[in-house]
Amino acid sequence: MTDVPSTIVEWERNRARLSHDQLKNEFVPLLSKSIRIVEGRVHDDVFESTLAERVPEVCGVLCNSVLALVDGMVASLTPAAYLGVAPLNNLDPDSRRWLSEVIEATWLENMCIERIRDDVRDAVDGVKRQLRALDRFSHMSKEEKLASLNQLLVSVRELGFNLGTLKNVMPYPI
Amino acid sequence: MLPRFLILDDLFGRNVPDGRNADRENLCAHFLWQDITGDTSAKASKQKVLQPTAEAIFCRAQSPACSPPGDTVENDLAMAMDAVRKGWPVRDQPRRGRKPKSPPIPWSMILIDLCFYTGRVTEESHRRTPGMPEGRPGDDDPRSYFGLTLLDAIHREFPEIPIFILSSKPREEVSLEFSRRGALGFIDRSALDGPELLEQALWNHGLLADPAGEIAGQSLPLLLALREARRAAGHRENVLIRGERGTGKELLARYLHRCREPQAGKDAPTRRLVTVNSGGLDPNLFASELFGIQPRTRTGVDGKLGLIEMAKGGDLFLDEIADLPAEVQAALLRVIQERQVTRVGGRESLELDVRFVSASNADLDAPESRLRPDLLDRLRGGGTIRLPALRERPGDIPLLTAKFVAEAEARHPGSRPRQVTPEAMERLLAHDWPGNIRELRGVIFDAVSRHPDVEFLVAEHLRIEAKSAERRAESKKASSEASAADVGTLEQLLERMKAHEFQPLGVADWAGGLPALHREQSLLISRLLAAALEATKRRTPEQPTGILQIHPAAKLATGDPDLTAVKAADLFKRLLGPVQDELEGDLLEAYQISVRLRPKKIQPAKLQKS
Repeated sequence: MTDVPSTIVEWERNRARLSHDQLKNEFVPLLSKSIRIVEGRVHDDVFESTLAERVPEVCGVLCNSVLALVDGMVASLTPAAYLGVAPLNNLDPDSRRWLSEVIEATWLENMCIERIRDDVRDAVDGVKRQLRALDRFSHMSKEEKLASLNQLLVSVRELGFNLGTLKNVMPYPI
Repeated sequence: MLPRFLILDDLFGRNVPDGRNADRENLCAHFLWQDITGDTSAKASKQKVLQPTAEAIFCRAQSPACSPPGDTVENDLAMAMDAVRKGWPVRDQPRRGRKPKSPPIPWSMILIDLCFYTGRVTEESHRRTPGMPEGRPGDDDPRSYFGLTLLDAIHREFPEIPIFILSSKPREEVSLEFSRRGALGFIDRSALDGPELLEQALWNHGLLADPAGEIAGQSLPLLLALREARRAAGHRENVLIRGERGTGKELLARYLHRCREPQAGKDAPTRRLVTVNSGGLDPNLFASELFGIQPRTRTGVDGKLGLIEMAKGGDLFLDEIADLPAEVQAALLRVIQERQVTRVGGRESLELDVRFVSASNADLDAPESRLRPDLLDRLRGGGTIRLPALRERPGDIPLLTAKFVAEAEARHPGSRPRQVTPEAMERLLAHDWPGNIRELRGVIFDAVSRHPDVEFLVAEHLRIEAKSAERRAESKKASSEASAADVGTLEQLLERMKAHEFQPLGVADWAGGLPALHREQSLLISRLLAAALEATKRRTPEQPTGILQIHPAAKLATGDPDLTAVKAADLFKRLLGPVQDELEGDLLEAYQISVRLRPKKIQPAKLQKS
């Protein structure tokens, strides 16, 4: 039985938490509520008064978390980590050294890791772009507010899709 | 009345230590739900959904429901099942000897999350999401989702509850499992069109009362029938409605007709519903009634729109389909098969888009049924909806009673608003109601009309026969005796009229019954005139279906060979006047001719003489 390196387990837990808990369960409903408030279909005075600050704040934290996850992706997911756990840790150090390089290079190549990382970073940039449009939120008309929030929601969902695909690049399913 | 959801979800169902569950509020805002959970989180909410689409009750399905740091959260199947049971009526509950109590309104739908996080609530997990635990390794494993365990247990105990998965986990991970365990579908909680998807799911599968309130009731058997009607409304195939007399088959046909799928939008074209009493169709006159008459400029014959053509693009409701005369059955079969109709005197066929909605209280598959099997098959091609008898839905009796009491009070000026005492309700609940809702309405109207000046409707006001089984047998016998087959000929009708004796009636019965009797009498005479008109039509090669002649028809109907043309016109005008709003076809034409011939109002004295 092959052990799964703890770095992979930890990275996947963070990815799942980010994608499922923070993005889909917390941020998307928060954005949806913001849209309902602007539409005038939901009233919540406390929420409405802080909407313009809260959305960028939560979104900013989310984007930074995603970037941190992507930045640590190669270091955490590299299949070379399997050489550090049973049974491959029984190999002699020389073999492990050259195997480590070959395995990681092959994985990077086969899984198009660089392109996937770029896709996620692009998605984060897309969210940030939409977020910047919210800078003058309080001066916008109702239609402009709705349009900018909806665009942000679309870009966040795009980011969510990219976070979901990251699961497929793991060298060994867990 | 709003649909009611039960949502089993760890995140949105939890009771947050500091009161407000922001995640739940956001979800409710997204789906436009009104949170009626009643826990401290719901009470602490300052959010107001202006036009909610549904009421939502949340359940964490875990213990404890409120978990500050330091607590350990565990899945709690028993607690979840209790929550389901609280909102679900128990079937076949004994009615006698029990304090009358309305059963709970059935859940319109249950929505279940997949992944439920368990374990210890740490300071860190609490900081991320208040009250949520760290999670254990197996919690988010699709092979062991607690949501699937919940689904299994609920579907096994309550197979009629519509259940959907509402989750932001990937659908493909569980698509086989949720289907296998009885869920009807999967809605991505974070999808932009989530509310629209849920609305459509609710339409197709939910248990929903009639929003217009025309069909009163919230019992499970009724809601299942309404769901069948909504599903049938989604297509244009013919539908058959089965149900005992007095169950409201025509109301259900109207519900089916006005149902529009959510995706159809508010701008969907309005369709027409045309009602036909099948037993009232004369074998000799039905063609012009159903198919219409082709206008002929050469002979001066006016055209007439047939009932089927009137329903073009909409629905034709054939009530009491078992009474359809054999001649009409053959003609109708051709129309349904070919989807075309040819007017009387016409040569060309018209393409038709008409959905036939039929109703019957008879067993149409029985060997003694007079309905052609090939016609029956076509009339129920789009499905059969069974309307439950009132005794199968006793939970609706309090609601129906309140409705009829209010209607009866409005009908009787000066009557006081009243309450129904528990004893009276117990008596209503104990009865079997062989005449169903119509019988209940009659009993309530009778009680209100005889006791207008009271504040309470008590058991003594209700004239319900104690032995309902005997009464049911009598009613069945009376109904079969009065069937059209037994009075099919003039001789039989005369014999029946000679032998008929009215039961002893009270003043209120006479007051309420005589106008109706007078109206029915006029309608009976109008049918006699219709038969006489058909028998005396002048038929020519150009006009094979015949031309109306009111003078010979009046002579035939009265048996007076010396009747003048003027008196014949007066006769048609006088006899058909009281029911002129209900006239169609030849009778309407004859009445219009008589009014043209004798435009002046007839003096009552002259009327008596004539």
